[in-house]
Amino acid sequence: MNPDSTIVTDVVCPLCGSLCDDITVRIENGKIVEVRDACDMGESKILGHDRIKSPMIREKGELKEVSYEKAVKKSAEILAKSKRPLLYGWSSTTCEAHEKGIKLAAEVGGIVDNTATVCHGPSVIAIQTVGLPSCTLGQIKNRADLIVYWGSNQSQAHPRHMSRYSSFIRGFFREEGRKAKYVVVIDVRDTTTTNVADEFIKVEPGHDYKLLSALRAVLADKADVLPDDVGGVPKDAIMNLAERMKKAEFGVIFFGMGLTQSRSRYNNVVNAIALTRELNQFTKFVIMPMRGHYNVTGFGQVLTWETGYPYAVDLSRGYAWYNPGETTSTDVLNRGECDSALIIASDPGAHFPGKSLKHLSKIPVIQVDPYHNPTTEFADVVIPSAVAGIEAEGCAYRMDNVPIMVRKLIDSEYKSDEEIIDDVLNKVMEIRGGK
Amino acid sequence: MAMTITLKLKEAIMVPIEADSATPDNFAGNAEKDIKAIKVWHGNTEVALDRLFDVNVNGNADKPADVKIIFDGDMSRVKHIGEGMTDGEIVVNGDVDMHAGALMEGGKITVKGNADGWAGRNMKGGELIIEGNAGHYVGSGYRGEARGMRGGKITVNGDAGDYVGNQLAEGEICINGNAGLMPGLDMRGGKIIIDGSAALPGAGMLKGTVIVKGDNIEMMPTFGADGTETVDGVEMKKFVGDLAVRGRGKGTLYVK
Amino acid sequence: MADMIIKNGTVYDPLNNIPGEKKDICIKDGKVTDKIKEKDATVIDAKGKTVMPGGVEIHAHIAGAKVNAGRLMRPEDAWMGKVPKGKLTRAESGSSIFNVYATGYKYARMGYTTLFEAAVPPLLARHTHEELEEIPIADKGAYVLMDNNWLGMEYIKNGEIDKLAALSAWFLKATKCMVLKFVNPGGNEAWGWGKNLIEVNEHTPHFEVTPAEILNAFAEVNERLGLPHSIHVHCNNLGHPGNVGTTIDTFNAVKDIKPGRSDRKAILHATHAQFHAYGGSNWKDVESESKVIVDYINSNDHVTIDMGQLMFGDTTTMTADGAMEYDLHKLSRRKWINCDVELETGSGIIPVRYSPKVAVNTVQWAIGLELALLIKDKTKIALTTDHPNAAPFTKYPEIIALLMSSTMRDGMMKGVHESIKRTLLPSECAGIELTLEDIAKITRGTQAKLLNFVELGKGHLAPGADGDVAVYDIDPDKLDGSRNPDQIINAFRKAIYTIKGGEIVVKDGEVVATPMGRTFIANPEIDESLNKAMLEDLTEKFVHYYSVNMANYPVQSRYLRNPFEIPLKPSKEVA
Ligand code: SF4
Ligand SMILES: [Zn+2]
Repeated sequence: MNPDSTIVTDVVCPLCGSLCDDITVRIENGKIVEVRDACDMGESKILGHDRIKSPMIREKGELKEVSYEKAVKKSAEILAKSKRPLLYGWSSTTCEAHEKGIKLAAEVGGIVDNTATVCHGPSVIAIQTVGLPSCTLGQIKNRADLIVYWGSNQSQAHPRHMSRYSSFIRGFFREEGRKAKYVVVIDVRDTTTTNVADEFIKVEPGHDYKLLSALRAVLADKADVLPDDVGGVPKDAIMNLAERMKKAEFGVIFFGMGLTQSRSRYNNVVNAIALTRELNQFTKFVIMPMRGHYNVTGFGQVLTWETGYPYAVDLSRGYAWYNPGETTSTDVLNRGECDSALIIASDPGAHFPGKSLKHLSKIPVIQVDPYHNPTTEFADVVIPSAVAGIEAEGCAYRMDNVPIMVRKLIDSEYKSDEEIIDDVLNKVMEIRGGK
Repeated sequence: MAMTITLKLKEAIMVPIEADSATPDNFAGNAEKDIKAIKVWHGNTEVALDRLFDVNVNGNADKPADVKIIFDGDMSRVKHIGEGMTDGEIVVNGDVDMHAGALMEGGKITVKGNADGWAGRNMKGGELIIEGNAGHYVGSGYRGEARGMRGGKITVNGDAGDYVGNQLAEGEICINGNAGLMPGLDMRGGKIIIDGSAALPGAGMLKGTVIVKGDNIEMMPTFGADGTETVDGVEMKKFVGDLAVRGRGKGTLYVK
Repeated sequence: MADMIIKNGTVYDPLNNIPGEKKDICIKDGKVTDKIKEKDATVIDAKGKTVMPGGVEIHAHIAGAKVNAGRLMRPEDAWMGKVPKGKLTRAESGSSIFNVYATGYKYARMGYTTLFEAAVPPLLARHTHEELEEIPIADKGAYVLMDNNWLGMEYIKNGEIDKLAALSAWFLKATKCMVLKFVNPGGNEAWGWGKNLIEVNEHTPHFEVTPAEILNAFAEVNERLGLPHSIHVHCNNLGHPGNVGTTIDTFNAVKDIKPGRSDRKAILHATHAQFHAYGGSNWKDVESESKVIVDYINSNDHVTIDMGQLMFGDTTTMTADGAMEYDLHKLSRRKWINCDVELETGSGIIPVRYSPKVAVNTVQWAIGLELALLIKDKTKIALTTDHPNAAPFTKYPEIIALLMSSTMRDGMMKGVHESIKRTLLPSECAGIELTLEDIAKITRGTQAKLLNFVELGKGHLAPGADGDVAVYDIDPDKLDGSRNPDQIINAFRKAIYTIKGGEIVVKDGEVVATPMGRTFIANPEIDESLNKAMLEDLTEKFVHYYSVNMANYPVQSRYLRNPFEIPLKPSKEVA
């Protein structure tokens, strides 16, 4: 083995909400050369890929390399003179960076929001409507004997979720692992997750709410009013599923964007939570959103303890105002309300609707990111950063709200998101200090 | 005594104005120059009313009941018009942005054009008339609250968006056109009348009444048929629900 | 920092037997001292004012997973309590659950300078510290939940008390906490299956230990480790009619344990005693059994309590007692969060509205007051609301007024449910009024004593104490508290001065400085071979049953900016 080679164990994968913390990496000459135990997605992120080389400012349509100081100054100037700046992204960086970012948003009187806006924001609204009977993932690993995946294809979005926490893992009261569990998939189409299920229930697109209500009606002894078919699911199958849920010793529903981003969005989740709640009349039942980015949950945590609300917070009037549908980034952009944007640790260029992007192309945009991506195409200031969780340490929250510190494995020539935001904040305060 | 204040935007704006301070309650008892100096929010900046609007004051009034405010022109970038007003009148000769008539307790607002989302949110009393279309959440509550609108009346002459009367506790909402998804969602009292169509009316409702007169209705599977009844001279099918809500779904839904 | 002298105030420093004396308080380098040179000092004229040590919060839920989940679930609560940012202050939110800034500011405005977070699920301790680090002004500390710890229960089952001590020490260190806390011992594990334990001699499923066994073993461990505070306990069967028996059984379960250090007699602190003092058999006939608790405390030294005073209005309940929160949810059907924590504990949250028109709420309101009025030795009872469970901590000024003014109580009793007749408030408590000295005890002195923080400079004003002082706008010579409850409320709501470590942080009720305080931690030392044996068992638990690797579990030191290790007095068995 190379004498410069070091092995680091218990590495935390900074990619998806599973936040696996059992990865081993081998480092040679300051570079990660081998990753063990991560899934392909995680491995490729940890190994690293093409980076933005230098800070840049767009001049006459072209991004030109500039000094870091110049890029920070330009960013601060843009934000300081905006009437309604949007500070968006945050889901792939640390809570330390979040804290700084929220402080910056408060200072410039902006809207601060993260990628929950386009994934599990509806789950948040649902929790605010009915609550959330849930638990940590280890609880499910040790106890669950019925697992329902609803509108979530984790074998693709969270490749190791099933082997670490849910279907396949052996637990204290489930020594048999997969054999000790009954796995149900409910979705609008056959996915790679359905392959490993004991039962697949296919629901027509946009009819999840009705199916959930039907299950609740069965629990409420009102099955007699149900039609023979709800959303493409025969009444028999509904009755059977309700019965199976009641009889489980410990059941869990994991849900994904199939529920949050289809018709009646957050209300699908409201109904799924209400169903879970009712099931506790009969047995132990919990429910959990399958959060995507590794620290989308952490941003919600930080913003909540800082302002009282978990995403889409408008600080323009000095206090926090939260109203998804109004203060959510896509709505702010679709309506063309904001006059500048700072985009950090996310890529709206690839994920936002065309209307939002159109507005982004009209206003000054600052991008802070390690990687070149579609957002770079319209950014006016670009500041490259160290990769959080590989080149910078800090806190992240797993999908079940368990906080884990992500590591700094190797040095970087770039500053961390936390440091960059802090520099911008100080510059803004310097500019506004005059007033 | 009576006072009429006419507000006309000086120029088209991109960043919305939040005009919750421009109400009869705040204008009553004030001289013209004080009214002009009342602060409104423009993004993260507080500015005097007359920086953004041409303000025309006619007459004077001691109490809000004697104040009439005319927003002249397109107000589709002005939010919170008439928010929290207790008396008097507001007329908008154009469209309005979100939260028109939110938290309103009395008086009357007439919007000649369309209204964006949350019109009449958390309304407690008074009357809100939208002559055009309305956005989502007409007469709803705030996020997380169990009870939304608690009184007053909202009329939409055109169509309304999704979740009309979400969390409705008391009061009446009339939609003369079509409603979107789930009018009466989780409502616990009050009345919603929709002349046109609707999808999944009454979902999650506990109490109150939803009447949908149009032909095109997607029904929830969890309502129980309860005969027929004559409503406004028309024979309609009566349903009870939402029975998905264990032991508590006792609302009434009428459809054609 | 300049020296300071607070002149001519009437000083209440009960732990130093100063029951309201005209006296100057000098502060140098952040500590109280005998004398300073007045000409270089900041002079505060406290003539005609009341001077007390900075307030100490012994039991509140102010930071961590539960608190934040409560915030997240209740945007309507956040919105109602909004305050815009100031020149120096960040925006505040919340009317029962406050954001981190509001938490720091609101306590400081009331003259509180030391705060303890009462329930840290070990797996989520990192979260608690992230929030504590953002709460401005006060010094802080936290209690770690050991109530349903799998390995702990196995050790208890096998009688391995030595290893249990090593395990407790490991969790204190890993979570950077300083008190061992127990919520519904054994019951939360049962709740993992949707069940609960009611009596202290019931066995929890699979692990086959009882609440009484759990508490007895950990009380023994607590004394061996020489921790400053006794074990801190939320008894089983919280909030249910007729639960006072369970409470007394809990007290008796640790009666045989001897204090490990000479500076404390208590073995068990029973928190929010109000919730555990009910008679009757259902929600309609529930009655006050506060007398049973009062008599026990008056005649025993091994138990201390805090009030858990309930006040009418809207608030949020949150506790590690997940089963109890589910019971509340079934009653109100309002939104409900539950979060069971693997191998360790549980939790639940629901919003609640306490009404004077409701029989049980009226009884609850009366019981907390009865406890504070009737327990003789006021250093055995602390004022709390179990924030935000029975009321937000911002209600303390009203509670102080209720305790000082029987007129105010009589007035309020006119507007409550007739169930008030099933309490002692109209009868035995009639006419009893606490003095400012009593108030100085139950809001700071008692707390410092129970936590054994007197030597560490909290809760008193003798030379060497921390320069934490509150000056209130009350002239004791002129006060007729009975007739002027409003004056008491206003005075305690907005301190004229709050001084933290010799720095003025609040002036005339407004925050004027926002320094960051310390975080108290306990690092018990354990015999190496004993520790090794325990670690082998614990590693097994991590390898097979936790969802997080052991190496990533302990809270890294970077999470605490100003840690302060408190001295312990361990016994021979463990060190
Ligand atoms: S499942 Fe997610 S966290 Fe785990 S290794 Fe794969 S990408 Fe990383
Ligand atoms: Zn508590």
